[in-house]
Formats: sequence, C-alpha cells, structure tokens
Amino acid sequence: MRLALDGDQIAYKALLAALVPHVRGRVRHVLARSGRGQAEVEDIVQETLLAVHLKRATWDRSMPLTPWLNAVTRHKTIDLLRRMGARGEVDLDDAVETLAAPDGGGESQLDVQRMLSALDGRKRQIVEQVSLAGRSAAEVGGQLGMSEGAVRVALHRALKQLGRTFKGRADAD
Amino acid sequence: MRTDDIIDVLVQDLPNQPKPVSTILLRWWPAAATLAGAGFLVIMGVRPDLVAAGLAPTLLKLMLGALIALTAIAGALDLSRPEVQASIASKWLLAVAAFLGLVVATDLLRHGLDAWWARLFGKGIVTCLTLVPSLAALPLIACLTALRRGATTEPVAAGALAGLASAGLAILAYGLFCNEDSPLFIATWYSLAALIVGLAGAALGRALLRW
Repeated sequence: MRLALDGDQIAYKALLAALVPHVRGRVRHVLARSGRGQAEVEDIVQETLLAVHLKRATWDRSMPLTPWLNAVTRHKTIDLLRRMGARGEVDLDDAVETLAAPDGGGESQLDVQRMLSALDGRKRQIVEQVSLAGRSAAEVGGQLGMSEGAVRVALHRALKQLGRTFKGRADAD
Repeated sequence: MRTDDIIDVLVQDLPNQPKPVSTILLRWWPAAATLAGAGFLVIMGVRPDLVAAGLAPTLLKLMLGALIALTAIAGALDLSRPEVQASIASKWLLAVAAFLGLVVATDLLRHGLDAWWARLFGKGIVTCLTLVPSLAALPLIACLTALRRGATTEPVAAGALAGLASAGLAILAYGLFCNEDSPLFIATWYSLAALIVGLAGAALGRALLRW
C-alpha cells in the first residue's frame, strides 16, 4: 500500500487484487451475521474497492492497514443493509443464483452496470475502455483523440460520480 | 461487471493522488476563522477598556477558546479516519471540562455563594449566544467542506467536533470584544454558545459527512 500510494501502479494493482478475498470474506461475514442473503456480495465488494481507492488518503501510513480496510468494508456493507432494510426484502432469486454460482467468479449483479449507464457518453466510454478492454489512459487517449491528462481527469471525475451515485442511492432509499 | 475490471479502472486513476484531509483543513479552516474574526473586530471593535479592565479575564477567554479549538479539531481530524470511534476521538474534550470545572471552582472559592447569580448573569448573554455562533459559521463551513474528503464512520460526532472547534476559534475573536469579565459568566455562556455550534455541526455533519 505504501508503494502504491507513492504511485506504483503495478504494486497498486497487486494490492487491490490481494485485498479482494479479504473484503469478500468480511462482507459475507457481516451479511450472514445480520441474516441476509449473499446476493449482493460482489456489488458491495466493488463499492468497497471504489471507496478504498477514493478514500486512500485517510489511511494513516503509520498504522496497520487491516483495521482501516475492515472499517471501510463494514461501512459500505452496513450502508447496503440499510438500503435493503428500507426496501424490506431480500431478493430470493438472486440469493439462490449466487449460492449456486461458483465462488470467486467476481461478477456483480446488474447494479454496478446500471450505475455505469448513469455516466455521460464520454466518461462511460473511457471507463469501459479501461475496464473491459484493459487499456491504459494513454492508449484510450490516443483512441479517442484526447490527451492522456484529459483522459485521467475524465476518469477521475467518473469515479467520483460513481461514488456519489452509490451514496445517493443510499440516501434516496 | 467483473471485479478485476473495476481494479483496472482504479489503477489507471492512481496518478490522481488525493491530498490528506489535514493538509486541506489546516489551510482553510484557520483562514476562514481569521476572515470572520478580523471582519468582526474591524466592524465591532476590540473593547476599549481591554487593558484598563485587567488582562486576566481576556486571557481566560482566549485560553478557553484555544483549548476548545485545539482539542475538538484534533478529534475531528482523528475521526476522519474510518476506523476511529467517536469516544476515542472525543476524549481530549475532557481537558475542556476539567478546565471549566477549575474556573468555576476557583470562582466559588474566592467569592463564595454570595450573589452568585450576579456573577452568572450579565447583559451580554444574548450577545454572546448570537455572536459566537455567527462568527463560527464561516469556519464551520470550511471545516465541514474539508472533512468531506475524509471517511468518517461517525458523521454526527465528527460534525459536532467541527462545530465545537469552530466555536473555539470564534471565541478567540469574540473574547476581545466581550466586556463580561466574571469567570462564572465566561465558563457558562461561552460553553453554551460552543454547544449550540456543536449541535449545528452535528446536524450538518449527519447530512454532509456521509460517503
């Protein structure tokens, strides 16, 4: 994490990938303890990763990472439980589907996809190019005729907007 | 969408390094308080008898304001980290409570209970309870705006601490204007004014500090 915070992208990617099983385990744990289905595990994992990314400056480097990570995960999970509580239902079909699915597939439900569609055209294009096609900001810039810097700015705005959309959904429900 | 795909996006965004909350907060929060306080003192003026009345009461006011501001802002900054609990971040406020207790005890020991109400009540109560919150408004907004970059899991407590801290800075300016010098008055009404701003901060924090 320290390397990653200094801007080492390879270290950052390895770190985030290494965090995923831990986060997924915590989410499952909190959901199970509150008697909820596991349908939205992967959505929460992805929301948590986004929060880890956007809020990474709030980790104190002199402290161990785990308590910080667990607090972020718990916060995001409880957020979702509150939403589900407001809805007052657990989608049984989803739950069955997820239980039947092999573990570690890491595919979220439609929620995140729907949220992506809330982004405007250019931002969505950039996010999709980077995520689905695995391109770098420089490559996407070349392809869309934008500078690398402009792509980065647009990407960052898209992520912040996604973070707000998650939160907004929590507020609205 | 796959989790691995999300990671790819986040990695590409790594060069946008967010600044620590403390960097932003410690720049804008004192600046906002200075602006409000200086504006207030230019318009309303420092009390004319500042030196003639003896500097001790003014010193008491400044000490109280500084103590509230420092302990509460340290707590608010601590609380911007998600793993920190409100009880731990607020523990330094005990120093404020101890200081107030000391002030009240000293006053009662020196003057006894005779005419304590005359020392407690003064003409400046309404002024104090309106001007301190008004002066705290601008720094409170700056403080909450900076704290939005944080990741508190206790938005109400964090907002309350932001309110108290901003009231502390407001007291630094108000203390130079106020001519009520009874320690009993200061300990009571200054604290109440700070609590009012704390409550406002709690309500605002609840709305603004969620993420």
